[in-house]
Amino acid sequence: MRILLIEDNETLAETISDRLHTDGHAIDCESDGELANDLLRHKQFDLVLMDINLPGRSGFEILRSMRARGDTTPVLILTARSEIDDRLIGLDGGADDYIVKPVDLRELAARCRVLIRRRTGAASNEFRAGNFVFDRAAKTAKIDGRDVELRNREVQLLEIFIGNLQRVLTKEDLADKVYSFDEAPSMNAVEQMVTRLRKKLTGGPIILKTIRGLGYIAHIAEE
Amino acid sequence: MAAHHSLRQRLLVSMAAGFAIILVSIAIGIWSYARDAANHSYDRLLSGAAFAILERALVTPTGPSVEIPYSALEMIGLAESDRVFYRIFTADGETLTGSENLPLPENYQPNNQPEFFDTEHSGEPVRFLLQGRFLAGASYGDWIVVQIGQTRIARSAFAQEMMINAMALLLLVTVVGLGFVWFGINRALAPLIGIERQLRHREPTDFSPILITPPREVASLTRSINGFILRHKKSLDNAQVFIADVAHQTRTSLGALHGLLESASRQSNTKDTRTRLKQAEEQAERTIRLTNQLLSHAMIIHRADNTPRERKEFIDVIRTVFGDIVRDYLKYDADFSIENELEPDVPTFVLIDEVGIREALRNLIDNAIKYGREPYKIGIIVRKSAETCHLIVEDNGPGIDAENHATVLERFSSFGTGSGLGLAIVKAVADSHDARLCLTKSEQGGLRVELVFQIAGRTGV
Repeated sequence: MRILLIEDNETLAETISDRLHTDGHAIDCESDGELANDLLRHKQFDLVLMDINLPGRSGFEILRSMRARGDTTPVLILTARSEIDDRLIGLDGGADDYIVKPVDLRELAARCRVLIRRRTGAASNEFRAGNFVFDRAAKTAKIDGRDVELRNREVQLLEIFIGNLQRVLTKEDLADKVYSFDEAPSMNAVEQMVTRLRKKLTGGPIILKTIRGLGYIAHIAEE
Repeated sequence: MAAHHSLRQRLLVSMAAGFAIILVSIAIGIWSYARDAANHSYDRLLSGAAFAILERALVTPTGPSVEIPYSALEMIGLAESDRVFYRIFTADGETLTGSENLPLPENYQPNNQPEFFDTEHSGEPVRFLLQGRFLAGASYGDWIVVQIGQTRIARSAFAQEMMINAMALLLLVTVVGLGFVWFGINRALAPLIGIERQLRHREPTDFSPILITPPREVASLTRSINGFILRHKKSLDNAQVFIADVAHQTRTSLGALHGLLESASRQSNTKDTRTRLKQAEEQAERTIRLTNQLLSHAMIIHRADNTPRERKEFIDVIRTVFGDIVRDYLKYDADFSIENELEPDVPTFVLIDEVGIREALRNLIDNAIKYGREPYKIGIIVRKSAETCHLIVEDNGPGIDAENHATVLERFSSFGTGSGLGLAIVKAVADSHDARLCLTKSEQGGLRVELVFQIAGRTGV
């Protein structure tokens, strides 16, 4: 995957790009906000990692102009502040995730993987993680090459989970997306559906975790 | 300095304006009084003279006759600089003696009451008196009228003199009064100036309260300033202790890290180098965690003093924050849950600093993971009683013995490998929310942390 790293601390930029390089990504580094903004106008990346305090143009401004252009590339913010501005993180127009410095490189790599997967889960026809392959067009899923039989609703559910990796989804969220308005499903039905899907996905890396009282969160078990 | 100067000026100006209004209204009163008094005295002279003249009027066989007595002229002559006019005439207008062209009021009917009027005559304001007398003889009966006029020079001089004397006295009273006001203002402002002087000459390190025996009106100001000084001192003390702690902790931690790296570079074989590097990495992780916690603690304390809490629906905040934190712990085999025991559809509001709650929950979960063992079981319970809202976090870790509950809430008091900051942060968050913090043992033998918040306002919409 092609990643743009916008960070003005050279040492940090170097270690991050080293780490992501070993994961097999191609990294472009940029230390100036203005130049990074120009670069983003002309080149398409799969993921942008950026600091907020940058020379030239702040990360916030870069993000805003990206979103204003309709650029939906996932953005992971590297910030030194633990109080995150609400405007920065959010589903619409904001960044997709943030990580607080000092950065744990393993954690950073994991977050990058999640964002990239979320994107491929939502944008392309094929989603791969470890021994798991999901073909959106053919509506088929395979674990270790074996077909996983999925009903229509389960396919929809799987798509939602893949598109929202590491995000908490409430039962209401799921019901809204899987059922039509006049089907009025019981929360019980949603629960049963998730349980069935979870059972079918055993042996694969996708884990559907239940948080009682809150909802579900899907993540990829790291090999 | 400018501020209290203007206060004094404002008081003085408003007092002076008050005095001026009083002065003007008194002056108007005095002026009309002085005029009346002057008229009154000089009118008596005129009536005296008229009376004396009329007394001498006789009926002779040829008609009425008047002889002007000397005393009458003398009486009028008392006003030396004034000119005098006179005319004596009968009811049908026939002048017996005197100037014929003296002005008369319209429709004058002779009678024996004195009648005064002011008018212009021969280029000067003149006051006239008209008085009649009915003369009756054997074959004759008619009114005879005396008209005497006098210019107003003496009267005006008299009124003016009265006016000037009275005004001089009034002015004196005003000046003395304003003097008292000035004195009073200065005395009243003295405590303020005292406070200002004390503050101005104060060393920046001096946090003693302002010493002044305050008048009631300034007491609350003094108290506020003293309260501010105390708060400022507390905040500064906190900052100093914090800086000292941070310096110590980070230096120690970085020292260890540096030592490990140095040792790694001196190892001759790869295996030892790797061991040292692995240790250095772990130390770096600890340093990062420590730094984050130190800053988080400082931030919580800073926010407690500076960030107003917001009225928010309690369960919403807990759900959002918990859902956010859980994402960082997905790699562990942990069972997370929220039990909401609040009534559904009845919102419960609490004044909340969301950042603080986030830090508190994060540290509690972090501790549970750090000190516990897989499979972790971390449960949050939200419930409410009459006026309080309870946030309970339970884990299945080793727990903390009851006798240590007080000490673990202090900074840098750890019973294991931790920084000893986690629970201190929770305590700081509780304090900043005026919440009660209570540690007990959970049913599964782990730690049970309960935060008791006051419910904000009425529940329900």
